[in-house]
Amino acid sequence: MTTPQASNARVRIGTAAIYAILGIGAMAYIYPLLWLLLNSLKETPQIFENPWSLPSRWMWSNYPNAWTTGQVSTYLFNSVLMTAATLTVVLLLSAMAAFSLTKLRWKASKWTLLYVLIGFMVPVHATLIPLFVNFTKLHLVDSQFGLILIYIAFGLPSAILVLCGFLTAIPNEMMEAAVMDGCSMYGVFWRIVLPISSSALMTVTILSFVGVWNELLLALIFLTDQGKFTLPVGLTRFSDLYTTDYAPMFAAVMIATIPTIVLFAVFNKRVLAGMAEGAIKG
Amino acid sequence: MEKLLRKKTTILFFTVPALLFYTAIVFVPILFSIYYSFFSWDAISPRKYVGLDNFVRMFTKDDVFVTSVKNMLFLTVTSIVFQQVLGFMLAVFITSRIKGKEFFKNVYFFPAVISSVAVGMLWTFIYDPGIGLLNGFLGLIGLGSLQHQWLYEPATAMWAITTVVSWQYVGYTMILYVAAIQNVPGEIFESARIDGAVGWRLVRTMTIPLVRPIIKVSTVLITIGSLKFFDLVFVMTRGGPADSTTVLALHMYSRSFSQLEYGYGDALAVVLLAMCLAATMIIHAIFRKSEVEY
Repeated sequence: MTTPQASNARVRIGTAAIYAILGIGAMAYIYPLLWLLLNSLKETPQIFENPWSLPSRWMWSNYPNAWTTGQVSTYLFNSVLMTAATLTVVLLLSAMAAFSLTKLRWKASKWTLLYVLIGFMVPVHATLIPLFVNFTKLHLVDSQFGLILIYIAFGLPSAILVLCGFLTAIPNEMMEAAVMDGCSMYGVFWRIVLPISSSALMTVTILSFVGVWNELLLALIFLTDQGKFTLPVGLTRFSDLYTTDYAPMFAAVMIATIPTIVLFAVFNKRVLAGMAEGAIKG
Repeated sequence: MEKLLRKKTTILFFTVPALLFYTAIVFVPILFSIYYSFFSWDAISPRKYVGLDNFVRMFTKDDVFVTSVKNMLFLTVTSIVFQQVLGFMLAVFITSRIKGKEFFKNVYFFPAVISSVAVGMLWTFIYDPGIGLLNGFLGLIGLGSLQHQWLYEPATAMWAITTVVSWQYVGYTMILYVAAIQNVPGEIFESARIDGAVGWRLVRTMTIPLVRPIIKVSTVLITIGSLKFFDLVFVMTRGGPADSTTVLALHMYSRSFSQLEYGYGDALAVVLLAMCLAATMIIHAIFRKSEVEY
């Protein structure tokens, strides 16, 4: 048996150890970012001389340099465009399909859901060559529109899954009452289903945003004109452009990361919940 | 009501758009990929049926394929071990009675939502022999002898990469465990504590069995993620030095879109597809076998 005092002391040591471990771990995340930030404000020769120090001259010009010469502004604009377009269509179509699969009555709905689920397990690689060959024929290669179509198709399965999970748990009474009042099914969808699904739609938004905003492989294959690049592809071309001129590259990585960090800072509770929910439902 | 819910036009209106996208861009191309994998086909010569030749060639003549599968397994195993152990540990610590839970959760999690390209570039800088943080740090604490050209030496490159993967995603695994632990009603832990279970014993007898479903989910996620792994390798090493860090997705990418060997590339894609499906089924089977009721 341990005395209460001894066990108290043990708990305190335990807590101190937990803080120490979590603190050291946190440093492994914060310090690299800080280092990136500091080096993004130096002149390249100074990075080579002493990557640890504070900048001797604060080179704010690295940022405009990456932004215009490095074309980060173009990439950022393209990423925003692609993500916004994909999200809009994925949200609308997945909500419609999930509504139909969970609330409307038709025999094949179970099978259809299963059919869509296949897409959830399939790696995108298994579609690349047929897509590339056919998209070339249809002049959809090197087209942002073509790539958006692919992003939409691959965003749908997980979105439908999350929304179906949510909608099955929603009772039908509100829908029935609306129909009694003379509302059509389309009205029910717009005025009832969409509003009550807002939290699930938020989850879908987060999952799709993270997926599309960061996507590299498809963008690499389906975009060849530098003016159409998204941020991930654009960044991979940065090292070719600047080779050993590190400072603008540090700045470019910072610029590319900032939007996500800001969004995460604002919505972090929702993002954490959404990402966990998305994974567990899947 | 019933009639409205069964109306064909309504059903078609809501279902068809999504299904059309999915069928045309996801489902049908998969079937074509499987079909093409039995052909010899590149950008110049016409398609020619070759049976299983592509697959035979893969396993007998393609050293890069063998390396890529080895690397994939290496990534899968190390990621599962690192992320499960560290992720679970962090989750237990964060859900214990400490202050600053939210801060730690966010700090550990945020790399999971940042693009792998940015993360890969950051770590390429960190591993850089000239300006890198890691060699600098080792020199500073007097361990200069341990300095390496991390990404340029075959012996260290895969370890360097798998470290970055775990750095980026351990927070994700942690979040899944945190959610599961917080879902357990507090009384269960309280009553266990009153029964004298503390520290490691509490974790072993209570927490681990209760988060069991998450062990399965995160194992599937980590495994599939490792099998499909592409971004970080592409950014950090492009598979080098001398193909020593190549992975199946990268091999498939360069065969298909640099060397334009569509038939062979598709065979590689089909192997990747089969591996993903098999891995998912195997993991489900393992966990079903040992499912326990509480």
